[in-house]
Amino acid sequence: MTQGFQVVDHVADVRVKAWGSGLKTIFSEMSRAMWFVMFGEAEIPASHRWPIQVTGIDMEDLLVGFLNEQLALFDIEGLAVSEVEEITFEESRDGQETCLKSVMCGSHVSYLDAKVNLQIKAATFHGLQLTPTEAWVTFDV
Amino acid sequence: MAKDLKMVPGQECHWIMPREGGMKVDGIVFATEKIIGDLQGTKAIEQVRNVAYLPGILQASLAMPDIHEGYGFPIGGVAATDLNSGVISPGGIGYDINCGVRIMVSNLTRPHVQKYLEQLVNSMFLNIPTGVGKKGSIRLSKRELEEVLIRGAGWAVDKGYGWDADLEHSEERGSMKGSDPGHVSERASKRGSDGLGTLGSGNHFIEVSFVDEIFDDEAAQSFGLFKDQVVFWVHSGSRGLGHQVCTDYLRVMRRAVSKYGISLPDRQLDCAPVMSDEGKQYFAAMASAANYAWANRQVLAHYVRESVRQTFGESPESLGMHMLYDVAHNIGKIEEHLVDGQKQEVLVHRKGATRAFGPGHKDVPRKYRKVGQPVLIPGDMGRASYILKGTEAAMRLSFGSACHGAGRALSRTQARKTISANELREQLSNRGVFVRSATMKGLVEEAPDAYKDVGAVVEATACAGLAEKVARVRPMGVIKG
Repeated sequence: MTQGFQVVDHVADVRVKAWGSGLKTIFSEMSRAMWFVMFGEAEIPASHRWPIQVTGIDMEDLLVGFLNEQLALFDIEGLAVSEVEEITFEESRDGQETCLKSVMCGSHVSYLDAKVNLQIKAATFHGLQLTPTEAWVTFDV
Repeated sequence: MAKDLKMVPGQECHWIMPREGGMKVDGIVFATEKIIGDLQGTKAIEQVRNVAYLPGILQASLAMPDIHEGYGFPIGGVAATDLNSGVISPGGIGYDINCGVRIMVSNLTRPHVQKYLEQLVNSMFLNIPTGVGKKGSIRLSKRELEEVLIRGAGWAVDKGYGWDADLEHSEERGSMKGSDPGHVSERASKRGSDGLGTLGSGNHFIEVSFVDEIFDDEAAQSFGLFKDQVVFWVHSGSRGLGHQVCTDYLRVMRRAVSKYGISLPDRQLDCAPVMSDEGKQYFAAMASAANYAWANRQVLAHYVRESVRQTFGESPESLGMHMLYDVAHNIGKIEEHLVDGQKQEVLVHRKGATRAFGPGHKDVPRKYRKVGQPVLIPGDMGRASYILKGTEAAMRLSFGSACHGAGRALSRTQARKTISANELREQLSNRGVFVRSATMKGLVEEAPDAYKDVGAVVEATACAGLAEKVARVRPMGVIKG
């Protein structure tokens, strides 16, 4: 497949490989994988849209930040993601950081409460790998 | 698979990884020959080596016998750093800041509780929010949350969630100094506004156990333990607030390593000098999250007492439900230790490790000071858990630290593949254990067979001299997230 993800067995945590052509696709696939780990096959209705914005000092920092931002919004607002719309990367004014902007599609978890599978505490930097064609992320669960 | 690293046997149950390359100190793993054999070639051993690269690390990068792969630090890792030349690393404390356990004793006995067990466990399950995304009934205003972050369990006791005496029997009296809510992000605060009094998911639990065997009569008497006595465990942490503090400050530390020119083999070890602005701010935020966790376990303990009251129709006071102790597993503490024969204040990172102070230490509650600090080691929901006591030797060997639990043997996926829910229920029922869980899947993932034998970890801990056995308890009833 040209793009996709795979959840790999790991004794204490969850490790995910995501691949695709280009970083935007990889970020999107990794996000899809994270929500798959949390909700399994359960469908998350795409009834809401909300913007998301994170900054990072490099693309790895940005990937981890992007995933953790989604987890924080899930915890605070109950917002679960079904799809990541267009992702854009912009350099900050001082050129020191990169900004990721995107729009999430999904719904409030109250619709899905009973189907929540596994809580992810955070996306970590542990064993993080990011290339133009694939990424590996370990999630603390 | 990580490469094999050279481990040299030291004194019994001590294995030394000699300093090489960028390591600033040796690595030391406290383990039996069997445990060290199983660890060879694993990431966990590599992580012991990586921690030895931290600037200002003192004596050795240490690992307890329940060591397994973590993030940057191994789980079961202990590292003390110099306050002036050393660093503080959020990876050495973890995402679930002050995840920990407490035990309440009682004058209830196993035969009596057995008759009401299902009613008791069901009552606890109703009273305690469990599982993913479950919110608590306590809604904290911004000002109230700040008070929780400063006062920890003391706030909860003042609000009626417990007794004054509970605070005497808690590490740091349930409230760590040095917290500052001003360094906790708005995002983290929001995640903490409705999480107090919730158990969470994963390996968090409430357990009703009975004392199965006493190994040390004097210490058991000091701890108020007797055979067949029913005790209550609470295992939880700082919930979303703590996770967010760790996430926020890993980003800060990411920037700090280049600012301070720190070179590390793993970015999950990112850190800043203890006395830098970044280091001080993280410490203040981490201490705030630790206090939140102590308040959380205090509220959960109150719910357990109320469930007991509802079940037995007697007050928790008359049933003698006193706190035995409350210990942190994931924390960074400024403590006084002997370094090269001199007393020195150091920053001790404990990631999946328990403080285990020995007899006579001023920070051990007066009631236990003659025998040493209670060290609470949960096992799994089918076999056993242990109550140990801290030793004088631990003060010299491990900055007063010991193991924290069993460690997983199977991944969650492997557990789901190899353990059937019905068989697990039957197996637990045959062992006399009644369980309620938010989901069957979650229960299967936390099955006894998914964990290593905590008995082997405890034997290795005792063999290494880090703690001594006082009592073994066996589970009767469990609620899981």
